[in-house]
Order: sequence, then structure tokens, then C-alpha cells
Amino acid sequence: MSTSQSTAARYTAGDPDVRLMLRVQQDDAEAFEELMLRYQDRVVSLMTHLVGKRDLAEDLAQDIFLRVYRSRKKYVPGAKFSTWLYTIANNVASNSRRGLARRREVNLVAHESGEFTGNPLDQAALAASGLMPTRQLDKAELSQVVQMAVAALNERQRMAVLLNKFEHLGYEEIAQVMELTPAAVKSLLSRARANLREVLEPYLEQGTKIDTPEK
Amino acid sequence: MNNSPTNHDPQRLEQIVAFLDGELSSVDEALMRRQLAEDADLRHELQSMDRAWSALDALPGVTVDDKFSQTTMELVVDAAQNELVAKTMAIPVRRRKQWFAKLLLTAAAAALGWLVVQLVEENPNRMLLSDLPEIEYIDIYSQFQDVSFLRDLQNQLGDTPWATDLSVTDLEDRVHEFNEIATPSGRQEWLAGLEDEGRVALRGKYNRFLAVSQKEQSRLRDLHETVINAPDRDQLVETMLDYQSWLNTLPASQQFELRELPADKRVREIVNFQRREAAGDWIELSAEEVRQLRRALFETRQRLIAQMTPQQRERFENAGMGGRWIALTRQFPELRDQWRTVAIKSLSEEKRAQFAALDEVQQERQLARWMRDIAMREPRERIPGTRQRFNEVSQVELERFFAEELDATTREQLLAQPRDRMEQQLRSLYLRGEQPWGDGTLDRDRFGPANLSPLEPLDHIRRGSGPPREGEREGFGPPGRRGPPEDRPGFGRPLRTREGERPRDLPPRPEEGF
Repeated sequence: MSTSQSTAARYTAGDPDVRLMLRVQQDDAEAFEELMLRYQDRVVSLMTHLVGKRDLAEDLAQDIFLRVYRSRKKYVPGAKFSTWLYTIANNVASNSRRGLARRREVNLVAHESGEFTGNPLDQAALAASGLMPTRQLDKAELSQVVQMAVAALNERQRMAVLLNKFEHLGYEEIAQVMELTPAAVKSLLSRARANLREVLEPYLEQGTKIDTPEK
Repeated sequence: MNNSPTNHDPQRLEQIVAFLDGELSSVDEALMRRQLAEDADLRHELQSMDRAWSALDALPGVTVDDKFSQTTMELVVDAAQNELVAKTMAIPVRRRKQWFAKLLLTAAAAALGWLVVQLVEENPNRMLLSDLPEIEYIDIYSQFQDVSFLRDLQNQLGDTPWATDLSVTDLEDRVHEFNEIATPSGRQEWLAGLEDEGRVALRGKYNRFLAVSQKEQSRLRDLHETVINAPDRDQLVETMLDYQSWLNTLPASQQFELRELPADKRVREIVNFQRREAAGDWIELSAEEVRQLRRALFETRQRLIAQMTPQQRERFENAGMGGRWIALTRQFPELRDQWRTVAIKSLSEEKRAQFAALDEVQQERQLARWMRDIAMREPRERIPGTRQRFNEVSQVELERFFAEELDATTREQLLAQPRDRMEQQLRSLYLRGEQPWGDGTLDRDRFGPANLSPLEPLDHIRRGSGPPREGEREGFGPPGRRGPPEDRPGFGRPLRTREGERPRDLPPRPEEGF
């Protein structure tokens, strides 16, 4: 899709990261370094929550930045820089997931049906229920339960949740990154949040194990 | 576990989530706020969703160390170096590709230009090659409208040979030549093998082809296509080439007369001619002998007309040109004997001996044919309704008539007239089919006062008397472009200049090379 000159001008004027990227396009190494420093924590964090492994997440993040550099000549400011960056990240994550699946090294819980299942939840529940059924969850434990709950989402729900929650992308931008319609994103996020609530609510309210949903 | 209706109502759930995310429209948002105020379950639903969402804040953040940044930059620098190396290595290849691309582009542009020029520009050679058969055979194709004419000729002639010197081998050669260019494949080669004389002739035909209307060109093409695609193509082509060969032996005047006839009459005339020739008892006459015969015949006629009673005269007048000879013969049976006498007197000694050698029947037939051939000019009626023929007589035919058939005195008288008047009188003479040497009684009685000379305009329209108008030739010399009249035979086979040489009377051709 071609980007009109007025759109490019609007994003160039409104987004300092776009201006940095345009400098990268002119082979400005410093601009690239600055961009990388601005986004490296967020990208690594996103990939960590997506793939569940820090070292793999860092490798993927480096791949993302490498792709940004290699794609610099073709870059057209048709959206916010972050949107373009996370589109690359989404592609890299998808490729990685496919590669891992082919090598049978999948450590993630990936349920293509989109339906929430209780397996990771069982693990979380089991960890919690062995302690005090009615105790107050401590912070580390909550973090662990939340990680398990996020990991229990399917790939698309997880990506939509992370972009929405931590990268503050609106439905329109998420749709652009994931190549969906905004309505599909709305539906995707509502199901993801329902699934999260279903896992987290018992812990948040009572600190107890919930019944695992029937498959 | 929450058992609120939201769990089972995806749309309501979507609305709650969108409300929490601030993605609802202002109308939907207001509606949601109203519902929340009224619905405790919905409020509880929303609060639980919000709590779960807020719990995500417990996810640990990630901070990368300097090593990550350094390693990433190293990777990028490596990528940049590799890119540079690849670009450097690609320069000669790219230049080569660019050079080839330019070369190809130039060649393509040149080819395209050539093609456009070929297509757009009027290419005489292309047209010549395309219409070569119609051009080469324009003379014969112009002689008939469709192949039924050739078929009629072929059927009616049967085994009667054409009165030409065309041998079987000659005809085969001509058929072969026709077939060579009948289809496009052999035309280029045929054209390349053409000698200068042939090229000049072809140029003339080409110019004639260009001179005819688009409609006529199209007709000629269609006719050629019909001939070559006909199931009896071989017979048609042979008949056509025979006809052409025979036609070329005729003087222009006779070709003209034949062309003027309707197709069926023309076929009949041609067939009769061939049969007559085939009978072998035809005595060829020189042009002078023909003149003498004509003079004798018309003198006899004038004499007989003068002897007519008023009733006979009326019948004669009403018989029309074509019927007058019949009327004369019926009213004056002695005409036959008188004709025999004057005709024999007009012949040279040699021809007289040939005539005497014929038996009586052959002699009668010969005399009848001479009379008919001389009277052939008579069909030109002057009755109202057919007067348009007056203007249809071609200039060429008039020129021939002037040069070949008028005596010197008449020519002098004509030349003494202003041009337009002279032309009118010449046409009148031609259409009357009579020589103006008679006493003019008939024409005077019919068309004008008794003292009117035969050269006076027949319709009393005196135009342009006096000196020639501006731009006109002084005195209007002999209209014939061919110079003095040739000693060409009137009827029968033309004289040959040399033994074995095929007579030709082709239309004049341009002199420029092709």
C-alpha cells in the first residue's frame, strides 16, 4: 500500500522516532544506536513474554533490530515508528514460532484453537494450592501466576495483550501490526481478558485454586 | 468462578473490555455508563475484568545490559560491511547489466520504430506485393465483373479454339506465371526476377490500379480471390488468359465496343468470333480495304434511301439504327447483289482471288459478316432516353475514330472548327456511324435544314464559334496521341509485324522506371 506524502509528512512531524529512522535511512549510525537504545528493553521484554525464554528473546530482539537496519532503505513513514517496529517483531516472533515447531523445540504453550485450556493454569494452581488455600498472595507468587496466565493465552491473544497493556497500542495500531481488522482485535482482546480473568480471579479474590475449565 | 451472563455473552464482554480500554464511541460509552449505574452484575463484571488486567502489572519488566547493545551494534556493523562488500562486488555486474539493458532498450526501440514505420508509412512495395495479381492482371480483370462470365465463355466455346497464336506451351507458361503470383509466397521472387521492361510495364499497371476507385480495387481483389479459390480454378485461369491474349489482338475500338456490350451479348459476340475464325474461311482485310468497303456500303445505302417511297422512308426511320439494315435488305433485295458487286470491287486483287476461291455459301457468309461488322457501329441509337451515350464515348475512341476512320477532307473541315464545336461534330459523326461523304439527305431531313453540311451540329446547339477560348489549343490538332493513323485492320485478325510475333495493343505505359 502506498503512503501519501501528506501522511508521511504528518508522521515525520509528529513522531521523533520516525525522524530518527529517516536518519538511519541516510546511513546515520548514531541515529540507529539511539533508536535501538530507546526500544531495546521494550522489544526484549515483549519477546520474553512472547517466547518465555530470555536468551531466545534477546536473539530475536537482535534479529528485529538487524531487520530494521536492513529495511532502512525501503522505510516509508506510513505509521508511528513503534507500529512499524512491532510489525517486524510480530513477523520475527511468528517465524521463530514456526521454526521452533518444525524442530519440535516448542516450550511455549501454543493452542491454535484460541481456546483457553487449564494445563498451565493447573501448574499455577498446583504451585499455589500446596501452600495456604486462603492466604494472601505475595508479589513474587502473583508475578509467577500472572506469567503462567499470560503464557496460557494463545500466541495471538498474548501478542495483542502485550501490545495493548505494555506498549499502549490502540486497537487500530494492533490491527496494523497483526494484520487484522480493529473489530477482530476487539474480539481477540475481549477473549484474552476473559481468559486472564478466569485464571487470575480466584487468586486475586481468595488466593485459592480455581476449577480448571472443561476441555 | 464467575457465572455472570457476561461469560456467555461475547458481545457484552467485548463492550466491557472496549470500555475499559477507552475504545468505545461516545454514544456507546454513555450507554455503558448508564448500564453500569443500573446493573450491579455488570459493575461487578467490569471490576473483575479490571482487576485481572491490573494484575498484569505484576509481570516483571526486562532491562537489557550493555552487552546486548554492543552485540546488536556489532551485528549491524557486520551487516553494513557485508552490504558494502556486496554492493562493491555488484558494481561491475550492475554496470554490465545496465549496459545490456540500454543496448536491449535501444535495439527494441529501433525494432519498434522500424515496425511502426513499416505499418504506418505507405509502403508502395508492400501494397504492390499485396495486390500484385490484381495489378498484373488489371487489364483482364477489368474486362468482366465476375467469374460467371468466364464460365459462360468456357461453356459456350466448348472445343472451339481461341483465335490467337497462343500455343499450348505459351498458355502453360502464362498459367504458371499466374500461379506464381496468385498467392503471396512467390511474389517477392517473381518481382525480383522481373526485367526492366517488365518493371516498366508493371509500374504502368500499378499506376492504373492506383487510379481506380477504392471500390473498384476492392472488386478486383475479390474477383482474384474468387478465381483462385474456385473449384474450377484451372479452367477459369486458362479461359481468362486465352481471353486476354485474344483481346490484345483487337484494336482499341473493338475492345471498347466489346466492353460496352452486356455480358451475355459480349459472350455471344466473342464466341461467334472464335467460331468464325475456327471455320478458317475468313479473309483478313487491310484498313484501306475496310474503308473502301464502308464507303461502298454507305454509298449504296444512301442511294437506296434516296429511292424510298415516303412509307418506306417512314418504316426505315422507325426501324432504329439496328433495324435499318434489316429494313433496307427487306425493302431492297437487290441490296445483296449490289453489296456483292461493290464489295468485290473494293478488294485488292489478292483478296479478290481469295474471295473467289471460296464456295458460294462461304462467299455469302463472308459478305454478310463484312456488312455486319461495318454496321457494328450502328447500335448507337439517337432516340430520346439513350442520348446519354452521346457523352459516354471515350476521348480515346473519338481520337481513334478521327485518326482512322475519317478521310482527310473531313478531318480538315473538323479542324477548321472551334474546339468545342469540332468535338460535338466529331461525336455526332461517330454516333451516326456514317461517313460524312454522302449527300447528307437523311441527316438534313431529320436534323436540320437542307443546306446543312454533315458537319453541322445535329442538335443546332452552336457553341463556341469563333476563335479558340483562352487556354484552348489553337486549331485543335489531331486529337489522337498516337500520331497518324496506323494501317491496322478493321475487322478480323490484326496484321502481324513479323512472322510469329504476337500482336500487342497494350495501353500506353509510363516511361519512368519502377
